[in-house]
Amino acid sequence: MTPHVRSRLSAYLDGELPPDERSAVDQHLRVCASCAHRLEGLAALDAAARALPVDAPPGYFEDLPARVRARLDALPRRAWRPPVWSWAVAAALLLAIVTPATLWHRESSTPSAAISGPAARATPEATLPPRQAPEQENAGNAPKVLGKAEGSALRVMRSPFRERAADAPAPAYPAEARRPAPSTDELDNIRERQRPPAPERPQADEARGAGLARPAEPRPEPQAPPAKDVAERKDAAKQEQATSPAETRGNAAATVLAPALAGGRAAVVQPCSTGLLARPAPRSLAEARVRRQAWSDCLRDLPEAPGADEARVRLVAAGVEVYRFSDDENDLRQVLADAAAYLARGDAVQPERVRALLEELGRRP
Amino acid sequence: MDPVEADLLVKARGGNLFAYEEIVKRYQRRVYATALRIVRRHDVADDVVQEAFIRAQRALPSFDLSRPFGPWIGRITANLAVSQLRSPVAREQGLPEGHAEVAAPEAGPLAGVLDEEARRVLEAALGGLPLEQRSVFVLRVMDELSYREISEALGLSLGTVMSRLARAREKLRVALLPYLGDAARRARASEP
Repeated sequence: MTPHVRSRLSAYLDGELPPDERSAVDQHLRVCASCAHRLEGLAALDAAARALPVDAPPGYFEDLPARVRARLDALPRRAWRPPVWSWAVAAALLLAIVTPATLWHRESSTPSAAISGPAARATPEATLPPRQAPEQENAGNAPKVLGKAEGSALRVMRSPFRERAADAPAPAYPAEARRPAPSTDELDNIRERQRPPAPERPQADEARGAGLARPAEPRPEPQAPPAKDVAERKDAAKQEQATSPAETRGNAAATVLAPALAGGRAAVVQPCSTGLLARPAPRSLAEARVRRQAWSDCLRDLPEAPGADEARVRLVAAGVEVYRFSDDENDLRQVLADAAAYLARGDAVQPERVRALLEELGRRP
Repeated sequence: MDPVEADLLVKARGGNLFAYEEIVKRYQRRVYATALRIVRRHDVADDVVQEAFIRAQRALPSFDLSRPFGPWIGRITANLAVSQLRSPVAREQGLPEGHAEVAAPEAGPLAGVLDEEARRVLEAALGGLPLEQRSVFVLRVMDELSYREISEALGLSLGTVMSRLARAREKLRVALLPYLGDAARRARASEP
């Protein structure tokens, strides 16, 4: 008879022995009553243990689900993590499809041809975030150092990604655009300027930095909104500026919009954008939804105005904030749709910012 | 996984707390049994159970829906239970008296395998196992986790899982030796 197999009976009972050992135990059990009896006892022991009653206080299981639910309700919002599902794949596919199409379109489109020259080409590179991604066109160029205002504003916009350990520095803006927030009088003076910005190299740089991505040819003046609306918006902007939590945010708003203000048209769109830029980051789903709707309304009313490019990027970012709070698939779809619409535009000036937002969506937790 | 549960988990993963509450109702007895068997004290088990369900809900986005939920939350529960007992303030006590409600997660034809006296002996022997052996035994026998799942849940090697389980079973077998003959006969009798 083969040696007793008592030490292997536990694993044999659980089906965890390798095939050759299992076969050996099988053969031994056929001829060894002692080991067979011991195996029988282990199986009965397992069955008895499983059948042991589990005592709990009266009503415990009636109350437990609600107690768990209450604790979950009371928890602070968890760290934003996109769920592992097909929409993460959709975001990655969107990048893979739209990025080459956008690059091809930008290569062959008029704006690139019209605003030519090394300096003009250098401007979008200077505004790109310094990324390590392969699709980055200017991996070798170091960005300009951000001013505090710009960094603050962009960090506010990128709030869902604060937890990333290796956040890339925010995009650099031309140093010429840094200036304090404009006063109301200054806004009035700017509105009265007659000539739109010429497509000269420095102004083109500023315009591209602010989102004005139009060719050099003259543009028709956009229709001014009713005076009442403008006055109301001016008041709202003034109030926003007075109540904005930090001057830095106002500076950031001016930084983004100052070049557009130079053209005079921005007075139409600037109040709603400035107000939105001056607001602090949303602290709840409701606030995030209001913010996103506000950017949407801003764009809807003046889709082609200076500053619209920045507003489109902000719309995507605001949608990401909504999704961060809601974890709702519909909100994710909205973000992807807004991003796709932006990246498909021939005049998109800041595709890397939107791609950065999409890449965050595509990351697995 | 049954389709209703699969649907509940999808909704729960989307943040639907109503759906997750239904998941809690489905697994609360099993999770409580696992916790109680390890920590041997209701108040501690209650803490472990709540924490296990909360952690599971937070980790749902990374849960593979193609796998069964029960073993997954069983692992979370066991890990928490063992950690709880290893904390400096934890101490093992017997179950408080006076509990009226009985929840036998695996009650069935084998519920009568042991008579009442034998069950008390088994309960005491289970409580007398060292924590390391008891936790492995509970996960294998009550939660039916594989050795690999147990090793992952408790951070042990497969060999350690195997040896601890074998020692736990041997101690229990010796404690129940006078009763196992009858139990084995009843077990055979209940087989189809």
